[in-house]
Amino acid sequence: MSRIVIMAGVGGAGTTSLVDATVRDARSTGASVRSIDAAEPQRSLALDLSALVSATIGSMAVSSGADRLAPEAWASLPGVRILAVLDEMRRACLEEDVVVVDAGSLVTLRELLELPHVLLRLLDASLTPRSAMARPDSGALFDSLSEARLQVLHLQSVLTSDSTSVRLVGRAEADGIDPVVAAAGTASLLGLTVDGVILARFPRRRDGASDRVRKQARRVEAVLQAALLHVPVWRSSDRPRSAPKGRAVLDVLAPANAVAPLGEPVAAGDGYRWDLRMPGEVAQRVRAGTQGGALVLECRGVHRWLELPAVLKRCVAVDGERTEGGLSLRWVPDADVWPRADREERGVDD
Amino acid sequence: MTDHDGAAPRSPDEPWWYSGPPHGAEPPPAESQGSQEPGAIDWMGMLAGAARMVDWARGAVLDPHSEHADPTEHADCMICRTLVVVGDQVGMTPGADGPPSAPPSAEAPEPDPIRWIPLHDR
Repeated sequence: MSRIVIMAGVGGAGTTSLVDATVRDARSTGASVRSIDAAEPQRSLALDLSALVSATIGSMAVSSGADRLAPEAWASLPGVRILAVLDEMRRACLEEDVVVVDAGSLVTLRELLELPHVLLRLLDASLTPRSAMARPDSGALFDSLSEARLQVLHLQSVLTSDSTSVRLVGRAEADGIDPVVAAAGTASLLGLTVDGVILARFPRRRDGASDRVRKQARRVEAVLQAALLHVPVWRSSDRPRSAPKGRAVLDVLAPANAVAPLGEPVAAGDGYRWDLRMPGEVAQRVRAGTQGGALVLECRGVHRWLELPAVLKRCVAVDGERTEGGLSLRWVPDADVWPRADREERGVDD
Repeated sequence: MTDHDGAAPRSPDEPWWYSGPPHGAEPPPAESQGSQEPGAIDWMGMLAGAARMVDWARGAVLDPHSEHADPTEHADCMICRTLVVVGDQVGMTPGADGPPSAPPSAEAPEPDPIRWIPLHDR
């Protein structure tokens, strides 16, 4: 799998300059590098995806009585542009050693990371026995939806690969802290590792910055470093620095910090315990819940659904603890679907 | 029960499927039984019985059902009841005008609400 670096930053921070520096430094290692601009995905790819959208969403609309539209009519939907960026990443991975994505703003980054999750939820909800049997001509639509689901799963696997990471570009100003921390939390929640924060245009004495401005910049740097434990935060100036001192640009610079289960549930007391890894900032804000056979995690309005292990689908979540490394959730057997446990609890013999 | 073959009216004591001579009638002359051997199957009698069953089904079930537009409103009709039961099993209700149609969104099950888990700080 190719090394993928996705970069995004707060407005005016100079993200594009740092993307260029990252591409240049990566090429200097001898690797083949493709740079992708999320604002301008390849139009031909966008058109292919329009055909896919037309064959799925368009066909669903037609089956409900709507007129059929030409595939080109779907090309300008915002989601199709984001999908084109993801598909360009997937194709670039087949040809290059390194792919550097300039997502631009933090808003676009969130759309880029969230879209596969949203599409998978919608496609899973569409692929039901009811939809397969509802219409005599639904076979082709069902096949299109199944194909779309496979393609979205592939895009998601590219995003959440161990060799993919997110680097954020911020400014050393007080109002630049929260957007960066929020973006890092969103990326982690959606299954990506954040491996660096670059403070662009960090004020220096030699550039004429005052003591007050430099002191404030150092305070911002310290706050960010404390909030994003184990993620390197480094300074960049007029001469963009693509990696912190002593590190190579293509290294994954931080230990894995994507939200993920820490193994299988373990027996504990009269039930089970299931631990999830997540950065401290996310753990402090996250809400956890269950819906059907899934664990739902929500942080700052972003949701992620995780399939529950089989044993926990027959349990009820009692409560959870925020730990240093994430969440620890406690479960007990659900008496409604686990009658034996219910009988034993009430002291009834078989 | 209506007798459709133009024969004499039957006794109320006779079952609808009985195709033999009316109760109390004179036994048929021997030549009317043709060359049938004693104990052989009476094919003609069975055919006549089957025809009566079809006529009965048409008159008692199919004809009334042909006027039923919505199967759910005719629980006393055998065909409507079967259609409703089968429709529920496959998750859709057959339409009155031909092939089954897509279920309205109101029939799709509501998603389970999210049950939030109380979280504590260690």
